[in-house]
Amino acid sequence: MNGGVSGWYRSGTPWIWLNAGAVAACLAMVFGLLLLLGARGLGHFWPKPVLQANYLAVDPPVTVIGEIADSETVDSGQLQFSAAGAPLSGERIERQLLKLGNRDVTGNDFAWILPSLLDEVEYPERLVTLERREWGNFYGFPSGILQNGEPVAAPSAQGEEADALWSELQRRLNRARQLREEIERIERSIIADINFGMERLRLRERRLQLAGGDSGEELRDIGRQRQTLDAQYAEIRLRLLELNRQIQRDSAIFRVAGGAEVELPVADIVRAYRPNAMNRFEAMGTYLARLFEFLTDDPRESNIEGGLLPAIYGTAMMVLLMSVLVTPLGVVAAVYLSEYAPKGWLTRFIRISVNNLAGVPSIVYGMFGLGFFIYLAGGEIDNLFYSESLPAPTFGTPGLLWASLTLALLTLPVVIVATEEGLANIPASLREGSLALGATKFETLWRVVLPLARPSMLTGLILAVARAAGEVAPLMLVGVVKLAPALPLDTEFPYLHLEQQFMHLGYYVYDLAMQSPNVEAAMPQAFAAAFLLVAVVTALNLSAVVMRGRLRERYKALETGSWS
Amino acid sequence: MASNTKRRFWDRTARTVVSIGGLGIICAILLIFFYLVYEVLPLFGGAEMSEGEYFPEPVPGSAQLLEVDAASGVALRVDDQGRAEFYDLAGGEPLAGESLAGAAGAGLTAVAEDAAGSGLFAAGFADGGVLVAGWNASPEPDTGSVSPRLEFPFGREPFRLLADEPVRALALRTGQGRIAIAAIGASGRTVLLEEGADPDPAALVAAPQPAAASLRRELSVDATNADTILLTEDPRWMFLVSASGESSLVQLGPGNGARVVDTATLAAAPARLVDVRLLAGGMSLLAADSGGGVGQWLIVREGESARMRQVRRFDLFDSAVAAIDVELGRRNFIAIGGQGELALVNATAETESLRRGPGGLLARAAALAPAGDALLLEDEQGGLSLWRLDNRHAEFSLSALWTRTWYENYTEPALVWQTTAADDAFEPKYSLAPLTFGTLKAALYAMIFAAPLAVCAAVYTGYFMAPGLRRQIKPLIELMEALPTVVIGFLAGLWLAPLVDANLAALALGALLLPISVVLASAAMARLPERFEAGLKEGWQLPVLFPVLLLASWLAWSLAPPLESWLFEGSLRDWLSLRWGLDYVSRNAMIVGVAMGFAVIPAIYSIADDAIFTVPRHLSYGALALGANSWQTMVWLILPAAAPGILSALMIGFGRALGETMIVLMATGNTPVMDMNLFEGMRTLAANLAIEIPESEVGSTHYRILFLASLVLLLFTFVLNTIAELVRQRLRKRYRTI
Repeated sequence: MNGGVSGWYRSGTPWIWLNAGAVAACLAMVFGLLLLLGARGLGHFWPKPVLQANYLAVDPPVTVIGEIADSETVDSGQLQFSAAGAPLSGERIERQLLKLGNRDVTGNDFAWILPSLLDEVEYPERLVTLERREWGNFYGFPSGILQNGEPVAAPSAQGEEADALWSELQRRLNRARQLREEIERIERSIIADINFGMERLRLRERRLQLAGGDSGEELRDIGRQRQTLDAQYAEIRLRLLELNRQIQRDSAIFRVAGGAEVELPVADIVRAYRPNAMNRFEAMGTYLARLFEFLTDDPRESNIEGGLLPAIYGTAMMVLLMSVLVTPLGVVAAVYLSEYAPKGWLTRFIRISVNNLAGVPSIVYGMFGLGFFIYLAGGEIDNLFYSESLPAPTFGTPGLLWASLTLALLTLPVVIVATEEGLANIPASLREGSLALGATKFETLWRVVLPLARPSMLTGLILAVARAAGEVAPLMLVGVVKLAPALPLDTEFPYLHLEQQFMHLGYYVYDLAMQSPNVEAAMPQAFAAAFLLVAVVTALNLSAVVMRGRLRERYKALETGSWS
Repeated sequence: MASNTKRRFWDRTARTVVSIGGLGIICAILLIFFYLVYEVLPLFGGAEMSEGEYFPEPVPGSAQLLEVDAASGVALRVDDQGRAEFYDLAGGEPLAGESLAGAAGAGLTAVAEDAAGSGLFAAGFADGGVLVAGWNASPEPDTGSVSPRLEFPFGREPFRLLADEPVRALALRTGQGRIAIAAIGASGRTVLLEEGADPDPAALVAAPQPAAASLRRELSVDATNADTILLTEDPRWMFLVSASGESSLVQLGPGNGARVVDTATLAAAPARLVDVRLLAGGMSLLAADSGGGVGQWLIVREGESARMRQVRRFDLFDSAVAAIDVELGRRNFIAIGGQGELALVNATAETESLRRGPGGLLARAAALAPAGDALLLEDEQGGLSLWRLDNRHAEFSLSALWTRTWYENYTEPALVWQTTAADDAFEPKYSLAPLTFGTLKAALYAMIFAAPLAVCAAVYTGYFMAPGLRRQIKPLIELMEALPTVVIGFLAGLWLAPLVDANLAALALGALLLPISVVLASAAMARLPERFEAGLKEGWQLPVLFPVLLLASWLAWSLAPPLESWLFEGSLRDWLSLRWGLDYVSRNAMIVGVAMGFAVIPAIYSIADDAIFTVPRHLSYGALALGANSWQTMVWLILPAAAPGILSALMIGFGRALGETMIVLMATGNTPVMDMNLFEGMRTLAANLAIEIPESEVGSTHYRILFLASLVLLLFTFVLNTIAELVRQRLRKRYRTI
């Protein structure tokens, strides 16, 4: 490649390099996106140090306590406030988003600040971060504990005493946690049982009324059962009241930024830790605990905090149900197309159509699901079988079954195409061998072809699952909700509630991003949920890719005859 | 082993079961298409009308007011003698009635319906008094029987509007908790009375008795010739119309101020005016004339003033129009011709949803039910007949869907998509044009971003890269396709949009610097000794390029601020809007272009790469043997050979971009504007479906139009994909032969 610049240009090298640049850019975007999600999503659970400083932007300076949530570089002309010492317009300066917490005390839990105006920045070891059931995080110094309103520890704890106070607080937190678990157990199982029984009695009564005729004996029976349930309920309610009284026993006093003292019920605290005093292992422990909570707990604070177990669960249920529906249908259609359909223009047209349906916008499937499944089919089912609960619809409203069916339809082309490809790739020699030995076409199919095509079916199914798990647009029309009160699978008969609405990871992200009242507070949780979704979908896809690669090699081996 | 008969039986059964099952499943998939068509078809159906039910007895006098309510099954008729009578629609039986009269038995001289559709009407008498009445035909709570009766929410005592002269013309309008009555006396004086001018809309319901605030004013306009008076809402405007068709638009000011702002002749000679009505919503006037035509006149605002403007004219009949009436909520009206013709028209959509030829429907008065589901006619002999109508989708027409339409409160015809408002009398605007425009705009910007990247990447991996490495890299790029679009939309809307917001200049600089840096890197590598280059495998450019790209990005990042303050006075955004008038919205087409481009890159790349990779190798070996270098081979041989495949890849990518929902939903503001500006948002068909269908009433026109939009999306992507697929198949066949 000699000949100077013009030779270099004529050889086309710069063009080749530009093409390589496009590949590099694509790869950089994929990995950049994954890295961004990973960093922001997983970093969210790490306990961040909390700073205490004097902020000089206002006069007189105020004390702020908080953790740095974000930072950006902006043109200083865009800043709304002009504080003493703030740089003039036309300059690029860094500003930081400080999470102040204490929303119930101060009203706003985030503030953009200029780090250059922070004075006397320190990270006090005794500063405590509280995660609460309501109102978001709280930052402050513990200064006392009250039991039934009476102080039990020194109100102005210093030095050693402060540590004693801290361990006393943790002991009481543990007690509250155990009580909370007991209360939740009762509410989840026993009260739900009673409510469910009541609802069944109501429907039975309504059915009798609709049927008309003489049903006095049965009505009396219903009345008796209702009384039993009422009595049970009264008893449970007393126990709950007692537990709730016990859990409300303790409260703790904290000194917040600015020196005011705030009393918080211990029962409202989910987790308390000293972020600045932690070593790596303790921080790791908190990290894992928060990650565990994220994966296994219910959401709090309109989905901004807590876990997303219901969303994971809902997604999994929907995908599982969809798989059960789509696999047999897709395989039968593929077997028909590749084995039985007459070879002609019609089959070719059908094949192309099926192929193209994979490219039809998913929202169109959602429209079909809403109109056909829910309003038409669901409405009919309600009229026929659930007339006692009308006008409240049972199946004539978005729900798990319809969402699964819609997505099954959406992913059917994926399964058909993958299975057909598998069937077409099986060497003809194997079929011919089987047929030559006297097997019928069906026997060849059943014993030879289908077992060999099994991995390709599985590949298709995995791709279908990956597509379904990440799909949101049609689900918004046919079944997902922001917050589902109950899981679609539980211990109540008939165990699997096909008519129930459910939560979904993808919709959870959408809801947090677009409909959250407090976007700044919701962002970390949205990133974490997005990362989880992407991780699951990516893992599924990569496994499909790997499986497909193995399969190809195996078929190659089959053709060359080195298969054992 | 089972017997042969049994085996054969199983073989046949399997064949039947699989064939039926397979075909059934494929039909089920195709059902989507047929279902969407099934939902859309009623839109094109037009209206249906039942056979008329004739009332047994003719009624005396001629109707001054005719109202029909199909929901309660009752009709009200006020004749010229002031007799108000209710009729049972089922049998035509007279139910109840009473006489309306002024003080000391003064006779009825004028009647006017409330143009806002409250069911109230006003009766004017020879002594200048005006009585406001309403009718109640709700069924009794216990028996369910209907016994309609007149009600007088403002008392039985007539308002003394004109002290001593007969009321010649009258108008009534309710709204915002108050009532406005305008009356013209025999001498031409005009009086406007406003009652209950309390801004609280609940006031009229809570206290039906006259409220304290009452305002009577003599208007300073000359109404000597006027025979009809019409009030718009508020009331801010008033029409005065003479029998000859001369009309003037009066703007009502404070106090006695009233000013004629425009005049117009409603019926061009030789035709004369037959009847004028306000269309639902009260902003447009319908004028029926003896030429068989109905004209629609709008109040078109011009700054503080306004003009009357005929925006549509419906030439309905050869004979004169005998009677017209309007529906309450929708812009529908019915017209009866002098020879018994009938036309049911929606003014906005300009559709004739029903037409009957001459003969059979002779009428001197017509009444359309508030919901448009029944029609009551009175013929010359006083015979009443009832006709049931089914006219659900009158507001739909293909032309209104795609062409500019002149809506109320607009100064010119426009393409607007606006389907919901708090007001019942709202005029829905169903133009798919802005949504289609938004869809194409989003897809276009996505393609501008995605196509060069994807095709270039495909060129590289499909030809220049070693096949072994290609097998590793390709799935990684295809991984982009697997990323849920909700995540991409989330990042685009909440991470990328603010980032671009703050660093627009850095981004623009990056778009410039990145390709330059690649070319520079290539030049630098060309200077390296050949020995070094030969030691590397094909595809070695990649590891070199990553640091180069990183460096270029960093350069763009740090160079942008000084450059921005030097070239663009500190802010590129402000500069764009000041210098070029380009508005900048945070969630704009550029963000969508990048995000959706990201989502369609893998679709384009994957197919284009296959097309390039499968070009038979011996072709390129031949070219190389003849002395072409690898880039020449690429440009002159491989690319032309693979061009159909690349084209089909682009088509599939475009189809994907058209239907993408979540990214557009989250990365734009979803306002249906028509503007190609890169820094403005848009609303696409798909996003519109996701936004509006959950709130749409099942079976309504809006619902079906949304299904029509989804059908359009389905057909468009399906056709696009089919063409792409056929192109690919043909290409494959061609490669097999060479």
